[in-house]
Amino acid sequence: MQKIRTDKALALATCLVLVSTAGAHPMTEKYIPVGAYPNWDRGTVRGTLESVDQAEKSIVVRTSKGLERAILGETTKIWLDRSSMRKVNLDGSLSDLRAGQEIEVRRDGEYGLWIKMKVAP
Amino acid sequence: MTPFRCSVAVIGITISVLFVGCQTAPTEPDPNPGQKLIDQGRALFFEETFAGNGRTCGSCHPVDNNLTIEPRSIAQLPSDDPLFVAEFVPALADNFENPRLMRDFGLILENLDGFGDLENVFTQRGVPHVFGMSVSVDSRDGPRTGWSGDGAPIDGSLRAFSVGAVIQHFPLSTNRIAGVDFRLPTEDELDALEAFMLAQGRREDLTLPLPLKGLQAARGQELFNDVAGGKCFGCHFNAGANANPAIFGADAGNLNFNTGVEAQPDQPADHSGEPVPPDDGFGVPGNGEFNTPPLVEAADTAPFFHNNSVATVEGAVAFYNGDAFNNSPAGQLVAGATGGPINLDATQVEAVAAFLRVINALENIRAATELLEAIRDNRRLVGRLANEQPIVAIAEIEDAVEVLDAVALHRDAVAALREAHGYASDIPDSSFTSTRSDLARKALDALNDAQDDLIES
Repeated sequence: MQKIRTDKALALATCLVLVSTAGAHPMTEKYIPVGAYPNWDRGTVRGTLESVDQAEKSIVVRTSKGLERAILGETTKIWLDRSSMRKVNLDGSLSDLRAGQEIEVRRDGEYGLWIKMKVAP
Repeated sequence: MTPFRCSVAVIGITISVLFVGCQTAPTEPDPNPGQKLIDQGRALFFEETFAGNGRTCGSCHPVDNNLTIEPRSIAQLPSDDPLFVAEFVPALADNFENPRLMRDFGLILENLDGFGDLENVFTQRGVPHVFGMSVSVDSRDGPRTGWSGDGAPIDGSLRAFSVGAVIQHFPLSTNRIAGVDFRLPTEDELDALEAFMLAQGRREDLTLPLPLKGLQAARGQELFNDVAGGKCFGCHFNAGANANPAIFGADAGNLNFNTGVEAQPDQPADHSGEPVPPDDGFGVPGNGEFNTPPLVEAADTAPFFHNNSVATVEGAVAFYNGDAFNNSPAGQLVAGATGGPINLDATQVEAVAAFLRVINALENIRAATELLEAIRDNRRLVGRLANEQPIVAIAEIEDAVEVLDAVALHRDAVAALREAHGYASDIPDSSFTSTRSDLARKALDALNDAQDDLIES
């Protein structure tokens, strides 16, 4: 193999900052019921929806370890899990979230990437 | 059934029972838990429908076609094969697959940007093989699965990939209600499926340069690794799926790039008249990047790229000469870092392709050898059925012949491979262990001759 000159190697290394980070694909999450994989440590917060702040666009989830907060933004997906009623899951919005419901939240820091709320019969 | 036919049938059954005893190939004694998991994964991969539309993972990743499908293999399937559920299940008739694009181009419908607008928001992608995943999925930023590196839900891992696949490809209807249209794999099943996938194909990367005997392939290897030539080695280090650690860092692993495949003019599927929306790659919305695939297994798994847009390995190499690549973000990076775009003449394109053909043939020989050694020794490999071993060995040898003979490379190797094929082809019809072992031994000798023609030992 021809030896790569240092400058060229350094230049190519700039690719490092330009390639994307790996990530999970969120879209099929819509169809995975809340709590379907309870033993899977996937960086999600799971528990009961404690409160919804419509003005601040944030929620608090009561988990087995205490209260966890998530901030909602333009890109946060909200899904309503109706699979226990054998009904199709729906896209939802902040106004659909109800305190007391079983919920699962994927976060990046405090930012909510997606929220799934179980809709009971 | 007449009495005569009945008697013949009874005799036939008796003989068959006796022969089944002869054919039984014991697995390795006392397989460890990891081996058992692979066997379980194999059964799930090829047999489990997850209470869905009848498809299994093997519907798109059949064992005897390099764990992938393309128009030629699709054309051999019966019309009621579960792959074609969109053609005969009313609930899947709309927005689940495009049968014409599937049959003509091997393209599968994916809702990577969401399921909210099934009629308009989808992509059409080819089916990647699942060989060499143990050396082609990990990256410093986590696992990369599927064509755009983000094919799995949950944590993005290969373990989670099957969850997304079931939801996308297995449902009874596009409502995709868990427990109604499919059942989700259990965590134990996901472990087994992951173990099986990781066990397929190569377990380690090549170490280039190889001592290749063919002048054209050897020159192709030089160009592949030449920073002023093909420049391929930056992203396909050792012809694998991982980035060159000298350039991208020791732990870079498998990376994504926007190489401009989507910008190619005259993509065959675009001329079909069927809807083929642009594919935006990684993320939602996508950033145009796609995942780097391994090249060792490329030559016998055409067509190429995520959209099956290029039919030949020569065409795939030539892609990197074109405007689509050289104007792409990845092409611009390569040009900036190396002083110019990739610019191979036709002879050089064919040389690089010859190199890829030869390393593919060597991998075919490695895989066939592993299978034939098991048959010779009356063993069953972990993750294989005994009766599948000769079938896959034959398929591997056929692939080696095809990738070399298509461009008249290594005539002596091709002759030896054909000899090996002849012996291997008699194995499935041979009922006696000793005969099968003898045929396998002869096939192995011929495979060894073929390998000797390709590479210095």
